[in-house]
Order: sequence, then structure tokens, then C-alpha cells
Amino acid sequence: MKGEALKGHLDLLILAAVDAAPLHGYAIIESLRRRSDGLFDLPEGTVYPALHRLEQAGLLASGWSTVNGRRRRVYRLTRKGRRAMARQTAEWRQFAGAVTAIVAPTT
Amino acid sequence: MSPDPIAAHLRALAARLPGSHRQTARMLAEVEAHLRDSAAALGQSGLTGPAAASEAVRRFGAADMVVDRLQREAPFPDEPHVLLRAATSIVIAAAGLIAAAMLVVVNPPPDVGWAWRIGVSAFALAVLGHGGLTLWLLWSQCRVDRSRVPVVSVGVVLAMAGAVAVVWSVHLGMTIGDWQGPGVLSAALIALQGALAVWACYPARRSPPDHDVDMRREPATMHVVPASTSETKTSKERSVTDWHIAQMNVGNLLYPQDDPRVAGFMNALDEINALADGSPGFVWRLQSDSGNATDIQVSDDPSFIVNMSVWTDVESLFAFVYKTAHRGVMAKRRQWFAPPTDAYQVLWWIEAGRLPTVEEGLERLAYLNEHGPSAHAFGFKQSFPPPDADGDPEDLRPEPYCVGWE
Repeated sequence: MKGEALKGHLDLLILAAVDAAPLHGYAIIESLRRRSDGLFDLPEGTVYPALHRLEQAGLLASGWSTVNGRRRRVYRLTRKGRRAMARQTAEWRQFAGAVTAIVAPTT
Repeated sequence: MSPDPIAAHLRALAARLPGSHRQTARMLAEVEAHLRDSAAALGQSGLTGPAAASEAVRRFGAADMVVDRLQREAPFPDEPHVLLRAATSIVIAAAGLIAAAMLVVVNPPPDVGWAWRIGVSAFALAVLGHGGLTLWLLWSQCRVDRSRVPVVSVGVVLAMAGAVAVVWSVHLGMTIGDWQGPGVLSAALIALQGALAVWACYPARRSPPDHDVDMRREPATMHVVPASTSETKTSKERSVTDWHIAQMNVGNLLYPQDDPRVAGFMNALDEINALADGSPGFVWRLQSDSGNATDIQVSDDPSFIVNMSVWTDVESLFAFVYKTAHRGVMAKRRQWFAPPTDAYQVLWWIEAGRLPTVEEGLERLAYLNEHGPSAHAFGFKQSFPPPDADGDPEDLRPEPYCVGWE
């Protein structure tokens, strides 16, 4: 699934990816790819602008960390980010449920 | 040997990212770690080194796209203008100098020994030299640039040497009671000034992402590499017309390519070519497996070398040729190349997506020689618009020293 289809959901996906454990950019992309069974194959360069934006908005915090001998910027969820994620998750459930009810109602 | 696609991509990003060195360093470090991780993962899945690196760059996306999104989504905050910083730095240096002069003129120490004189002189020279260096850095556009770090470092070393000299003179002249306090103060000022010069040279603004960074062709060589895929795409995405500008220049080397007298030229090729590859608007350049084009023989004369490249627009090409470090190398061409008897550079429009051949370039050059500038073959002084646009030829006014040969 390419960028356009993911647009609008990228923030929530990123927040969810770093929810379990702090991750660096590449690991976030890998995690999304793996957890979506390869469906979410992001144009990788778009993730960093989004990460920086989310950090500027206070939803993520970041710091340098050396992993496997390479220095990486690792992102973690802030308290504000956690609240935003909960809200967006609820909105997504509502939206997905409504779409499902219309296009594939389970009698 | 092909250049490292990841390094090339990082250069392209660095050239396009707005913001200071400090601000962009983080983004570049993140992207580099990402690309190396990605290439390593691709390597494990069977791709060879360079192919894995190229694929990692491709998956990441074009530098223009990334920078565009970054600017839209998370722009760097503004920083104080570099001139303001530099002015502060210079004022402080002047204050240090005046303080030293006051000591000598207004309050001369009773026992002026040679060590004391040397110390104070070194101090004053260091402050002056450092101020001059700061000015030079500004004048030469204190923008990006890691390549300036050595120069700034020299300035700092000078300032530190001045500070040490003062301390030394104070140590030797402990009996000069009046010198000690102001001397230490001056030393502190110099040290502070050194730090400020470094700060000043962390650019507040990079040039906007259209024209900047590089150098590349000499009056007669060539380069060209099949630009890395991402770079090519980038350039094409930027293109607003269906036409690209092709360029060829030729020259006769005065000495064989392995002669030390042309080593300055040969040694600059890789750097200049890499800079071209990362320049805005760059599409393609002629190159052999060596990564440049000097070993592509197009006639019986081995001293005759050609350079050919394609750019999205004539302004990008012009900016690269005349407004980047390329100009410095070009200005030395008289040391390496025989004075040309005919035109040695030609420009022409080419359908976007098509690449010119050497034969085609030579034909355009011959046409220019025979018929003078026309829409078929022209130069910067009479730059014709693309075939699908109206307008008269425009004089882009290349720097005279870089145009003639005398």
C-alpha cells in the first residue's frame, strides 16, 4: 500500500509503533512493514519529516542511542502522545466500524 | 569505482536542507543510519554492496521530496542571521585589540622586555588575523559547509595562540602589576571570539534549494556518471518543461594525464563530479567506468578530452558552473589546457529523458563554430529559450575572466 492510501493514518501508525518500545526511524518502518504483513510499505523518506513534526508537537520525544555500533535517534511516546494515540485509535475504530457496516455488513 | 550512492544521497540532502549545520546535522545523521541499516538488510537478502546501497537510496525517496516534506511538516526554526553573529565576533575581537593597545600606549609597563613585546605582538596579530579570517569566511558565503571547518579551526588556533601568548607574557612579566588583570581579560576575549567565529560559521541559512553547492566541470574534461537513479529522478521531477539543457565542453590538455603538471586538474575531478551529481538540476553526465570522462577518447589525439552533461534548466547549469566551487577550478584552466582556437563549450536543448551522444555534442560544437550562436547551438552569452518557449536569447553574463582565455 503506497503513500496516498496511508495518508492521514501515518501519525497513528507511528505512535502505535513506538508505543510498545522506543524505536529509531528504520525500526519503525520495519515494524510497520512486518506487522502489516508487508502491506504498509512506506516511502521511507517520508517517515522522518513526520517524526520531526510529531516531536515538535510534543507527541514524541527523542534522544541519541547507540545500537549495534551505530548512532541512532530513538523516539518514544510522551504522555501527550499516548493521549493522542488513544483518541485517534478510538476515532479509527469508529470510522472503520462504520465503513465495515456499510460495505460488508455482517447480517 | 562507482561512488557510494549513500554518500551521494547524503550530499544531495545536505545541499538542499535549509537551516544551520547544527540543525541539519541531526537529520543527516538519522538518514545515514537509516540508509546503512537498510543497505545492510538488503545485503542480507542477496543484493551486492553497491546494488544494496542504491536500492536503499531508492526506497528512501528523492532528496527533493524528503526536504520538501520536511519543510512543510517540520520546518527548522529561524536562527539569527549570520551577519549579526559575525559582527558580534568582530566587535569582540576589536575590543581585545583595543585593550591590548591601551595597555601599551596608555599604561606602558616599566620593564618592557623582549618576551613581553613578543607576547603582546603575537596577541595583537592573532586577534587581527582572526578577524580577517572571519571576514573572509563571510565574504565567501559562510554557508554550509563542512569544508570550511579547517579554516575556522585555523582561526581558533590563532586566537588560542594569542591567548597563550598573553598568558605567557603575564607569566614572564609578573612584576608588571598593571598588565596582569587586563591581560587575562584580553585572553578571555580572544578565546570567546574564537568560539564565536565557529558559531558564526555554523550557517544560519543555507542557500535556497535551487542553486548552490558545487563545482564540476573543467574547461575541458568531462565527467559523467550515469547519475544515481534517485538523483536523476529528483532532477526530472523538478523539471517544469519537456526540455533539458545539454552541455559539452572540450579541451586539449597541455601534458599527459599522468603528468604532475596536470595533477591539480586530475585530482579535482572526483570531487567536482560528485558535487555536480548532487547539484540542483543535475540530470546526467558523461562518464566511463572510472567515474569521470577524461579517459573517453573521442579522437586520435589523446590530449583532447571532452565533458558533457545534462541539466533540467540553463539556470541550474549556470549556477553550477559560475557560482560554486567549480568556478575556482575553472579559473585555473589556463595552467592545464591549451588556449582554444575555436569555441570550446556549446549548449543545446534536448528532449527531457533523452541523453546526448558524444558525436552529437561534437556536431553541435562544430555547428556553433561554423554558424555562430543559434537555437541549435549556443552559449551562456546568448542563451536561447527552449524550443517550446518564446523569447529572445538572453545574456546570462558569465564572468569575463571565466569566458575568455587571455
